[in-house]
Parts: sequence; C-alpha cells; structure tokens
Amino acid sequence: MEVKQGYSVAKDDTEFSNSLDKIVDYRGDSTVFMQDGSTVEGYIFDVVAETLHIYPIEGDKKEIPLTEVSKIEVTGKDTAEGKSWEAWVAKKKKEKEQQQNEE
Amino acid sequence: MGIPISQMWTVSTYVLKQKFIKRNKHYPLVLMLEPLFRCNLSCAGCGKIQYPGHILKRQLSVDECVQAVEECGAPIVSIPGGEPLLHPDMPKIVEELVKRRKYIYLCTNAILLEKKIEEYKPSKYLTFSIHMDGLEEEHDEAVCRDGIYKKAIAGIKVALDKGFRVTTNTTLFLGAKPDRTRMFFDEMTKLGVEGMMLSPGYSYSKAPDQESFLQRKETYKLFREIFHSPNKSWKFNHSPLFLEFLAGHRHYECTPWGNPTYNIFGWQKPCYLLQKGYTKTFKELIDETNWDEYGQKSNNPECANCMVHSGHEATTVDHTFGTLGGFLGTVRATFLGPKIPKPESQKIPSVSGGK
Repeated sequence: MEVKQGYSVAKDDTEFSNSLDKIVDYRGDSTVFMQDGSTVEGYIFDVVAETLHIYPIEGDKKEIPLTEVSKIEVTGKDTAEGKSWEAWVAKKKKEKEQQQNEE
Repeated sequence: MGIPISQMWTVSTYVLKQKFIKRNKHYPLVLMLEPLFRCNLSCAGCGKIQYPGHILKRQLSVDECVQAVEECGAPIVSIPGGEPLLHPDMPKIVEELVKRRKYIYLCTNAILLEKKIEEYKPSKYLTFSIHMDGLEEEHDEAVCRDGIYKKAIAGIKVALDKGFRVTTNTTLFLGAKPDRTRMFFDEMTKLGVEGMMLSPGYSYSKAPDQESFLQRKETYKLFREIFHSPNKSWKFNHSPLFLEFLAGHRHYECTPWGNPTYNIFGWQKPCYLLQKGYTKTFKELIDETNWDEYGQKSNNPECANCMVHSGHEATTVDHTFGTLGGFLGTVRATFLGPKIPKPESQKIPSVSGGK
C-alpha cells in the first residue's frame, strides 16, 4: 500500500501497524481522529511503546496513546515528493541535453 | 593536518579516558546539534528541509542546546541544520558552548555570513565550516541556485580577515570529476582555509547487493583519482586514516554512536542520516539502540554504501587511540601522507579487518 495525501487507515484495520510505519516516514502532516470525536492535526514523527509522538500544527509536542485513536488520515502534502537528488540529476541532465540540441 | 594541536590534545585525552578509564564502548565524539531545519537554500535531495512549514518554523532554544551538549559530553559540537545562521539565538548558543570549551563547527552555506559575522567573536573553539560542493559550476548546481559560490567565497574571505577559523565541507557525489575536485582543493588552499572536510554523497538504497558493491567500488575509484599525487599544501580536517578509508586502502565499520544527532524531535536513532525514531535522553539512545543492526557488516541495505564522515571518522579516531597499529598508522600517514591505492587499482579492502 502506498501512503500519500488522502490515505487513511482505521485503528482496527489489519494494515494499521504497517501503515503507521509508513505514515511516520511520510514527510507531511496527518490528522489523528480520536475515539472521543476530537482531532489532532500535525506531523507524526515517531511511535514508541504504542504511543504516537506528534507535533501539532500549533503548540508543543504531544504524545497520544494508540488506544485513544480511531483513525489516521494523511492530510498534508508530501514535502519530499519529486525532490530527491536522483530527480534533480535527471532534470539537469535533461536540461543540458536540450541545451546541446538547441546549439 | 589542518586540526590545531589544542583540539587534537582535547580529543585524544577524551578518547583515551573513554576507552581506558571509563571503559565506554559506545562513546560520542561529535554531537550533531541540529537547532532548526529551515534553510535559505533548497538543495535537491536534502532530507533535512523536507518538512511541513510548521516544523521548519520550530527551533531549539538556547537552554535546550546547552542541555543536549552537557548531556552528551562530546568534546566537539557540529551545528548543521537547516541553516544555523537563521537561528536568532545562534550567537548566544555559540557563546554558551565556547564557555564550556566545546570545539564548535558551525556549518553554514555562508549566504548570511558577511551580514552576521559581527555577532560572533573569534575563538579557537569556533570554526565556520562553509558548505562548498566544488568550483562555481558544481557548487551552484548542487545548491540549485546561481551566485551562491561567489557569496560563499566572500563569506570565507571576511571570516578569515576577521581572524576566525574557517574550514570547508564538501559532499562529493558519484559522477564528480576528479580533476575539477583537485582544482577546487587548490582554490580553497589558496584562500587559506584551515582544512577541508569531505564526504561521499549517500542516499540509502534498497538495491541488490551486487549494485551496492559496485557503488562502493566506484567511491574508492573516485577518491583514488582525487587523492593520487596530491598537492602537498592541501590540508584536510580529517584523520588521515579516514582519507585512506575513502580511497579503499582500509575498511572501517560505522560507529553511529560516535556522532549522535539531537534536534527538535529528540535524540535521533541511530545516526545522522537514518531516522529510526527518537529518544528523550542521550542515555536512552545509547542503551536502547541495537547498534548491531547498522553498519556494513550488519548487511543492513540502508548502510551498504554509506561511507559518510559522520559515521566513519569516529571509527578512525577510535582506531588511532585504541590500538598500537592504529596509532602508528596515524603517525605514519601524518608525516608521510595517507596511503592511496593507484587509480587503476582493483583493491577492495577486507570488511573483516583494519586493512
């Protein structure tokens, strides 16, 4: 499964654990839906001992026990998309080839 | 070498104490203190700046930086980023670390150096480590913006004129041209920098082993071509054994605990490049990380091609002060120059031993 903007996974989904690892690696914000109906939107940067570590968009770091979570949705843009070194090298190569062709 | 004697003395006594008095197997040598991730450049492939805006706005406070430095205890503190000169309290952070006699490498792209240099005082403890990825064409291409090489050169000159210690730090990617790199070393030497730091560019790959092997081999070839018949006036801010490692004269395993990383998320597991979670304390980082899962010997594909200095320089220092062979090797390489296999050499150092 690919984790990208718009992807969501429920706590009782069998894929939840795998998805969570990928959400932690994702370079964008997610929204955590709590069992009490509230939400926390921010950057999830770690999961330790069944607890989410998140920087909410506003305020300080928060720790959220997974037992209080009902669903997580990837809501922010992937800030790493298309910005790899390899993508940059390929782009520059293409530009140089175009330049040479024009000359 | 380009490292002052007082710094070498501090490092050597520290390492000897860690190894033979405290008997610490996992001890830090350089703290990688990342006080912020925001930057005034947007270099392709830089994973340090690829975060949502609200994360890029955050930064460590002066107290958090000081606490991390004291908790870690390493004699050297490298301050990368992001761009550290964007941190409004950076002069205060530097002042506090100088008070604690830490040798600081403030890693900057130098865009703001001329403007901000009056906020700093020259000290043997403070070095501006200027990001330079080659001559003008290569550097501006690497940082994805024209004119930055000239800015950095201007920054280096101002810092040197004002009596600061200045080094350069250079990442070389496969495909780098050895002749151009040698010309770049000549240019930096002419400018009068204290030393040059080098690291092969690395992005971890889940490629099959054969491919990984070839990449490491290419790295050796690149550095053999660069270091072969070197200009005697080049000075590197490295252990000479690290240069022998880059050129494939000897193999070293990674010591990720040697350069622990602290940032707004906490102590990063296990190293500067990989992000396998965070701990709240330095002790937890050292005690709870399964270090056997990292380094080339571990067969972890993420480590297969990695030869970066933040993972391997500490190994060379440990080897120098931990073994007679390492010590004699360092003395020999310091006075006679590092042993660099010829560019056409097919030698691959054994993974199991020093050479």
